Amino acid sequence: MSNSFPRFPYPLSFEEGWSFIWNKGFLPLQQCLESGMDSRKKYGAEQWMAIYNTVYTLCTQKPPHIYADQLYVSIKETETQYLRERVLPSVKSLHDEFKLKELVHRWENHKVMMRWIRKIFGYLDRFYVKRAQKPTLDELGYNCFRDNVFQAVKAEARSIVLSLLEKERMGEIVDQLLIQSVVRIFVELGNGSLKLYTEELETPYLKAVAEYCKAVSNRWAEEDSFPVYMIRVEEALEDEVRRCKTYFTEQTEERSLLICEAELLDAHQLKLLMKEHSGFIPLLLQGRKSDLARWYRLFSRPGVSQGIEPAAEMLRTQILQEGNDVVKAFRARLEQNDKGGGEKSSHGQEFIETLMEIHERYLEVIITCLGSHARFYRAIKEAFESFLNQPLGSVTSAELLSTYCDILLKASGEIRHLSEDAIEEKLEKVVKLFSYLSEKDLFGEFYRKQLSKRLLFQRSLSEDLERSFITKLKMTCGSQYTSKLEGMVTDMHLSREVQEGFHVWLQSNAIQQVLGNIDFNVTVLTTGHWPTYKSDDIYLPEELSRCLSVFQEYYDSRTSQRKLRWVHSLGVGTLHCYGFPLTKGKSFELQVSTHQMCILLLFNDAERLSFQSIRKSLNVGNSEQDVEGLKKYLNSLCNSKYPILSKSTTAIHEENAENEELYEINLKFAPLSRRIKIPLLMARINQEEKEATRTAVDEDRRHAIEAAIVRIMKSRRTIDHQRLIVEVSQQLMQLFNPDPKVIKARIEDLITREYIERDEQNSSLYKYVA
Amino acid sequence: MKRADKKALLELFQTYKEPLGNYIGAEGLQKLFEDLQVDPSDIVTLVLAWKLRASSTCEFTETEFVEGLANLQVDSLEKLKRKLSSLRKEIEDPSKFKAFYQFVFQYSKEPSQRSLPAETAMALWDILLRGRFSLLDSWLEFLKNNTHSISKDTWNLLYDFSQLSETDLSDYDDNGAWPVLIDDFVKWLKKEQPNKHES
Repeated sequence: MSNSFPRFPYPLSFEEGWSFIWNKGFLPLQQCLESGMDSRKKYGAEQWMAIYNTVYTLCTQKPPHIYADQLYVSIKETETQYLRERVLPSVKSLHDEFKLKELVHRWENHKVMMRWIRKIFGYLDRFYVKRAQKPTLDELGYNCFRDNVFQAVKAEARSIVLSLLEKERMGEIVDQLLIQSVVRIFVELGNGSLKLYTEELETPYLKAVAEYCKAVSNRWAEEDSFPVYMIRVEEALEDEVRRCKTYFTEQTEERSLLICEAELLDAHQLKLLMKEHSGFIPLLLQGRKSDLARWYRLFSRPGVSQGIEPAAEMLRTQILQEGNDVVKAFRARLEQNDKGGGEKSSHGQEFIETLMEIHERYLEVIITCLGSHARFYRAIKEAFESFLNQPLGSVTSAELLSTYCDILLKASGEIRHLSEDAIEEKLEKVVKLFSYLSEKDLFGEFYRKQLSKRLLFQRSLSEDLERSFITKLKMTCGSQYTSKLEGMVTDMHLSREVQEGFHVWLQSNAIQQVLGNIDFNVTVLTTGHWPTYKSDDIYLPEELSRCLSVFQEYYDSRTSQRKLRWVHSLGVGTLHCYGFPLTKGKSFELQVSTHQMCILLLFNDAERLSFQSIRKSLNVGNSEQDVEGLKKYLNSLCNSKYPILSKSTTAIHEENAENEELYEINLKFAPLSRRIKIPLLMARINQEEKEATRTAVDEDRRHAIEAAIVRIMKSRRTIDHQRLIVEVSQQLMQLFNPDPKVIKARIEDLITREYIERDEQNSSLYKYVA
Repeated sequence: MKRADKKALLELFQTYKEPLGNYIGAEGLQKLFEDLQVDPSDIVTLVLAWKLRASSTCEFTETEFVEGLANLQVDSLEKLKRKLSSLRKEIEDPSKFKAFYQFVFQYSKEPSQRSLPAETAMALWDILLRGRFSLLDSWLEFLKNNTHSISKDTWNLLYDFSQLSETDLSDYDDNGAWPVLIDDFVKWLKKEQPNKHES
């Protein structure tokens, strides 16, 4: 028989069994643990089996000799006693890191003992523990250690750990493995739950972190500039992350960061942002990109409760102020101009370009440094919408913006030197400003008028640019907004086709002779697309009217049921001039408008003509407007730069001296070149057209408001006054901001016309009248 | 109550009607009011028109006159005279007054027009709202320089406005649903008499 089966009497008594287990098992184990010897070397397989069998025996004998209960109790007592008498004192006796080391050592030992117990007394775990509703042996082991050792030393252990961490924070080198081991004890003692770790270690740690951050941030905020503060904070955060990753759980890392962010960033944000020389605004103005980027990185972190909001507000205010300054300066200049001092034209261009520059500058900052965050886009939008729509005086921003587009698309002035791509880029920026305009409909009207002049007088730099800008407008406002503009561009195309067809037709039908030597071209426009131009009944010289009727013939053959209405005020022509004495026999060409041409051709048949006879010959009316208009044309031919005609007043009828001037060909006219272009009156938008635009827009708005009211009433049937105003505004705000007073007036008008009525009981309620 | 004697009413009608038409015209009305001993600018003449459901001013058709008076249990001049005082009482009731007031607009305007000339409206208001509208004189003063014609909506809402107590003007909301003319009136009033109507 081998030693593995000790011969026990039957039944085996508890005392004897336990004595065997104690002497052969626990005692050697404890000795090993104390001396540091590897316990596995102590036991051979036989000894193992012997102890195990003893356990088995004690548990499986027939009642009343079952000793599982006592066994369990004894295990507990043994563990407890050992811990109390040997382990705890040894840990307590040491200090600082030595204490920690001893604790770690003893814990490892205890785990060995637990393993041993688990193996030896496995039977209990399998068959006794559940039935008796007792903790498993492992649980028992954890509890024993915790209650007998850990609880007594945890406070000290914790404070040593915290002070080590503090030292490390200050830059000293500490025993990382030791700290990790101690932390592990806190975790493992939870036996699956992190509650112990959280309560006993994490919470005090986080408290220490908060205190540290508070203290340090107060100091830094006092001493440092904003950028330096941020750099320090960034370092501190990185450091904290490293520390948490080394020692603690992910959960602790998260919580710690939130605390750090709150103390280091959130608590001081406002003060820092507003630092006089290094705060947010100075950084913006100085273009300190990396500092701004760092600010964004830091302050968009989750632990910063106010986040980027305060800075976004400051940004908005700053942009608003800059914009308002530009507006004020422009307004002052304009006032001065209107009073008669200073030069006129380039102020508008400068104004727009300055605003564009401001916009680009801040957009760039938002994109490169501020993470393209939507909040900042909103800030810049609100600022621009606010100052761009301020009243400027005798002009509106809508008009200025449209005029600027006109300059770009005509490539006039300095713009001439830019490439088409560069102009396209500028147009792209203009569209962004356009999106902030509240009076988009007014812009549209001006743009339409200016576009028509560009197209009709061939001032456009490039059709591609025109189309591309219209497309950009379409993307911002929808196709209804740009349909007329597109119609105009298309009309020019179609018109050219008609032109070509006309010439071909002339050739093939040998009608060219009818026109004589006149090279005749017609631009056909679709009425709805173009601004309204008055037609007039000026008498054309026979040669010209013949051209018109020939074209009419052609056009009728090509289309059906179309009426042509001639707008002579927009026509241009070239006259060959002979016989001026000072040209020494050479002829020259004059480019003039149709009206000017008709006037000059009269002088082929007469040397001198009175105003009235000119007027009658041309079939111009007698109204003040007509007379004024004719005078303008005549004066344009008499002006000092191109004095083709000269004017004199007769002394005969003094009272009517106004309308009795005499005109004659100025034989002293000496043209400086062979081709002279007389400036056209219609080429630019004049004051009259501006006012007409404003009036037209106001009227369109009235219609739009009415249509909106009717639409809303139709769908709602009943609605109260305030809601109606709000909904009308919402529907129309894409194009303009309707004035509540105008809306009211329209409502009243619709009541009178019986589209809507007031409710009998409540006069603030409107009802739709079907 | 005996039913009204329509024959008698017809005879009455004949007394006053136009020689060439089947209606009582301006002259006839003048005589009628004389006989009733009522001033033509007395409000009760309008109340009568209301009760008779007359459709246009200075005119009673045969039906309006005969049927209307019959409905009032009146078939003689005497009875009509007596009736007048009860008519006066009737319009003391605010709800009756409102209906009557609104009627007067329809009655007074040209059938082809949609609104009432300002002068006519002013004269009517003087009759109708005298003693019922504390700001009447200011309103009439304001209108002198201000407008050509009065829409039905403005007419109707003026009554609601007149029923606001004077102290309410400080709460007057010019972004509310009041007609623009009344908004302008309040603005004018506040400017003219800043002490009285400040909030």
